[in-house]
Amino acid sequence: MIYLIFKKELKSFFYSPLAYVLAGLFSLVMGWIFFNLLYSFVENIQALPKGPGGGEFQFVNHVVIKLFGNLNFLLLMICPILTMKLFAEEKKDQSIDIYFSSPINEWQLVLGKFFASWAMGAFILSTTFVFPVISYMAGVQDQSFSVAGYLGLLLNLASYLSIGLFASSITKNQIIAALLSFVIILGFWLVSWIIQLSTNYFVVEILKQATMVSHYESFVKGILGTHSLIYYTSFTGFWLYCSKKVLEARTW
Amino acid sequence: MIEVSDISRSYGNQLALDGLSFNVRKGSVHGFLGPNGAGKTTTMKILAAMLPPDSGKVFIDGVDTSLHPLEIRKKIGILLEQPPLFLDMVGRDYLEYVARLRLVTKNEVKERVDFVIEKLGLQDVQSRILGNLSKGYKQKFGVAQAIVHNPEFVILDEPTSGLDPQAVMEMRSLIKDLKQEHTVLFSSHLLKEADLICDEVTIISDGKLLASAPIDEIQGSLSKKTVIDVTVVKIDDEYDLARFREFDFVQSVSLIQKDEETHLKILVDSLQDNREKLSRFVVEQGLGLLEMTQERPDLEKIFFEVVKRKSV
Repeated sequence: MIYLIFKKELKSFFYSPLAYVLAGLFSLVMGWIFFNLLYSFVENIQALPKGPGGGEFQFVNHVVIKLFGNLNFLLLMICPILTMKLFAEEKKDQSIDIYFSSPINEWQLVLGKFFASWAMGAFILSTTFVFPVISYMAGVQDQSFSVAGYLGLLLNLASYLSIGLFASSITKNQIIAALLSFVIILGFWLVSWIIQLSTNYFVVEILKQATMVSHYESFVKGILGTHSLIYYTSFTGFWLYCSKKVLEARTW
Repeated sequence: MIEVSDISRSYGNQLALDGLSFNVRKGSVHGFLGPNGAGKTTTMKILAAMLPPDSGKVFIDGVDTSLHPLEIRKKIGILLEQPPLFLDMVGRDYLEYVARLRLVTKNEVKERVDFVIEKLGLQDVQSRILGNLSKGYKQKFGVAQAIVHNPEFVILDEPTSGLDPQAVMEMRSLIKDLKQEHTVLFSSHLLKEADLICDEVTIISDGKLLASAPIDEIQGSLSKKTVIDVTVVKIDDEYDLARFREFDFVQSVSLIQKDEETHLKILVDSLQDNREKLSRFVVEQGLGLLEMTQERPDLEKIFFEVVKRKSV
């Protein structure tokens, strides 16, 4: 049943011009950023500090990490748009009643929609796969940073989308859903920025572990920690669970 | 059979249903009547296991809807006031998708979808995007999704609302047709429509039950008086209508001239059928009996009578 809903939602994404507009804009902006990072790297290569890995180290530090930082920032913009209509639109036109009158449970509905939006997000991300290919052709042999970066990006995408799905489940208005998910995701980012001002070690550590930004940074630096995987799974699971509870409440 | 037992449901502080109980007999077309905001849609959602009641129980074929909602949904097809359509989907794809959601096996999907498309006359529009269809066709797709999995019970919430007269006629005949294979629970604010289609009715107001029984029974028990219309050849001016008062059951008699015909409107106690006695009397009096009809009180009168009585 999850697969059935997944397939329907994915089809719906691809039938909508929004998917192509988003993918086009995303690849355009990221292409421009990648070009600028490369340009700046080539211009300043002599002045950059040398690390143990030589040129590749410099490339990772000054292009790959910055590139993934920008990719993550753009996801913050895209995810609320991807998820805003998933429940809000169906609640507004009452087509969601199809699911509530069918022998399926709320988990199946939430997961079907979540995986479809994740696949759609991954499709949009895939337009940037050309960057590692270009860098490989330019001589950067070690692509493990890119692999880890994309894995982190996919997990971050999942956590953003789960927040977006929750926001969409609590309102009938798509704009409110998009704004709410944007605000919640941004809230987590702000926490990660604010904690840098704190001098209390324990507070800093706890808050660091609670926000996705620090976990994502480890992936971009090539560190695949089990605790980060557990964090993303439970974080995403929590928001999906909240969506399920909202659907179960059905007081609209 | 659907058994509704003392169900209540609130939205916040607002009590939508207050201890509602009634039964829906298998194989019947059951009308569900009530003014706007009476709690009809909430009741229908509860029956379809889309909403749990705050208290009370609903049993469908003996199965508790609160305990086995997914089991119940296999047996029920529901169309709420707004057809639940995915407007970006092609009609046929939509029905196939709904059929799969309602556990129709992959092999049977085509057969079931073909069947409902033919039954509802959707052949010409099955390849069109739902969002581009007229309201009538959207409503038909709404009914199609409710029966695509061949449920035992079909619940229709105001299915003719907002349709043009031609579409209303088609929908009424479709609902009658559904009776052959399904038990139909049907709500309408058009009482005459319910009168035409339903075998039994439940009347609710403010979330409370006012009456629930077969239409004939309700008409008999709630309307204590009925009018017998007697068409006669002619009545002389000096004829004394008070002669009819020799019968205990006659309440009053009035004379009406309509379209060059003479009518006697005799108000009688409806609990007895007195037409035989009256017809013999009219003939004996030499008035020339042409026609005699007992006016059946329509549902509209009954509805307002019931609402009035309960509110007193």
